Amino acid sequence: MKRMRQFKRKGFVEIQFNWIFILVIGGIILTFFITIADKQKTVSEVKVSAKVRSDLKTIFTGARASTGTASLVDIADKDITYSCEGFSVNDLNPVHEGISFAPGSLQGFKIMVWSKDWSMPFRVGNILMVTSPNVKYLIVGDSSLSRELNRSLPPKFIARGSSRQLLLNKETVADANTIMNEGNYRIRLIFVNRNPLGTEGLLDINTLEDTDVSALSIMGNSLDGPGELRFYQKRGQYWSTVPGSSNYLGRESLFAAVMADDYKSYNCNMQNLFQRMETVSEVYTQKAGKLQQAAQAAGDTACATQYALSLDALQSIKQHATSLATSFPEQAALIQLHQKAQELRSRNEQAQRLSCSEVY
Amino acid sequence: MPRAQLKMAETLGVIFVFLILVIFGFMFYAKFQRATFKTVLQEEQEKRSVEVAQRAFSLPELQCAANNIMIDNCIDILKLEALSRMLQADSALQLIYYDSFESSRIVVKQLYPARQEWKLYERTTNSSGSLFTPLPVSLYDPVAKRYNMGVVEVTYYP
Amino acid sequence: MILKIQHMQKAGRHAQMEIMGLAVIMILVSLGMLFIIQFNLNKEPSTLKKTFTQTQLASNILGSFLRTTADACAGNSIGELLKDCAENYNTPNTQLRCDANERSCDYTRETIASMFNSTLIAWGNQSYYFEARIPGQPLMKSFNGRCTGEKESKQNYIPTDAGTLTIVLDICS
Repeated sequence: MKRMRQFKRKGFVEIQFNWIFILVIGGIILTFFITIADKQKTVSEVKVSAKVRSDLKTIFTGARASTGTASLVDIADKDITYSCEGFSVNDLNPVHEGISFAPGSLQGFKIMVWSKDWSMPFRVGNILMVTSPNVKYLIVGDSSLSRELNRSLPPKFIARGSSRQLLLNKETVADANTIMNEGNYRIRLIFVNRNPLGTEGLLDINTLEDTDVSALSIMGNSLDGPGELRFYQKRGQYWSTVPGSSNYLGRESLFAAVMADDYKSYNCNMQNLFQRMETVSEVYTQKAGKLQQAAQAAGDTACATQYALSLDALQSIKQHATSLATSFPEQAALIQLHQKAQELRSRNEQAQRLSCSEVY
Repeated sequence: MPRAQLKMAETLGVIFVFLILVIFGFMFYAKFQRATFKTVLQEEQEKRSVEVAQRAFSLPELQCAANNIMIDNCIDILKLEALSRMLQADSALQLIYYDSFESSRIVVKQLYPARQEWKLYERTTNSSGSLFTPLPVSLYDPVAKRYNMGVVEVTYYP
Repeated sequence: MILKIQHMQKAGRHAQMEIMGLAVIMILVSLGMLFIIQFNLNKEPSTLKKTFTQTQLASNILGSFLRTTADACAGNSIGELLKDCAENYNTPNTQLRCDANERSCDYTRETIASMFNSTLIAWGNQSYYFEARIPGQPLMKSFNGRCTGEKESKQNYIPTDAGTLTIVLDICS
């Protein structure tokens, strides 16, 4: 009997020990695999971000090399943020591919990439405009300039195989009363030669965050400028104007302002563009100098005169570009640069008429 | 040997075999991952080198133009000489172009009629390998108004 | 005793089944690993750069060749010389004359060969096939090696009095 009880107690201890053993070992194994799974999750998230980053770089390089057309590109749905430093995915280094303009955030499986060359009057570089088809662009008003702006922007839809897909979610509305929120994550209103003040509270977009609703007011006689730009941001029921004012020169820079919903990133990238212009104008200055020397050596005074005049214009352009690289949106320098660009254009046309080699 | 001890030895044996299998599996997985990573890295480097070549080839400050209309596959010799001089003289400018050209060596060579060479950009690293991309190009001489045959040689250092 | 033997036999069969199960698992795991290794080893290396280089090479070389101003042929381009060669192939005396009284066909043939020497052959003995022809009449050929595998082909057409001049350049893998 005593032996039986002793044997029973032994069995009881053994069963208990087995359970403890299973719990400890099972716990260790479970923790081990949970840690591995967690690490793998982080690694794969970084991997996807790195892939998106690398894809963006390739897409932008390709787009920059071929200008004019807008294209729709498929991309993994990662929130891409944009600032003057470039396009960032998670905490990875931003992709900085030339001069680019985009809204502060790009969401969705598709992005629109549009590259346009900016010439003043020679080609300075290709500017890249990137946006998401989920961002709504509303051109308010029905003036000839607003219609021209609508026509000059990429089309609303693009053909893809047998179907058509949304490329640039743009629309013209007669007044701000009719604006509806159709589930877009960002809305940008464009007012031509008028400001958005007085439209507060009329917008059916109050469900959106303040940062997701912005407006641009274009004040100018033509899309080519020079003209004034005013950037607005929604602040509750009001439009905030502080301090967002800038300028545009050339229609490409106006399109850039439409895409960039933040005046800071617009101004910063425009400064980068003028920094680039400084280098390019120096290249053309040296070229014009060489052409002038060669024309003089060949006794071709007609060409030499054109080159000398072009050289003057180029030096002024370079000077203004240098100043605008830090002082943009300074209006006076912009207007002077525009005048000198016109002068250089007519000199180049004159050189062409005289059968001299063109400067640009 | 008592039954309990035998059972315990059996359990420990099973755990031991299981652990060996797990370790073996992980070693295999790590090796496999390393091989995949190498392939991805190589692909990425190749992509980068192609991008650098594309950028060098489409620079407006080098391309030939007739009244601001760019001519494909053509470099203006006077513009090339100017930019090459500027880049050699100004290290701050080199830094600006680093965004486009990264660690690479870009040389433009004229092959016909006479051999000539312009070093446009050079920033090398200590990396052992390099990727070479030659791109044939026309070199336009605006003074003589003639096209020469040349090549843009891009050596990318990953 | 019989019961004990029966019990032992049963236990032995049980152990055999367990070992069989383990062996099957090990075989399956090994097969899986072998499959993965095989898949990994047979993976084609990246051809991105090769494809880009070959596409660019074929189109750029041909475009640049035809645009190039001939050094000693009165400012004519190679394309113009090829056109003259095509139009006057059967009447060599009417062909354009370059320096040293060389005819347009001969000059173009030599220049093209020398250009391929300093490009495709100099960059790692790249195999290629070049041909210029008008309908029913090949004008000139230049090649290096044999094009057996994949190739990147670029054609250019120039209208001439003798029919369309077809210029072909194949860059071989």
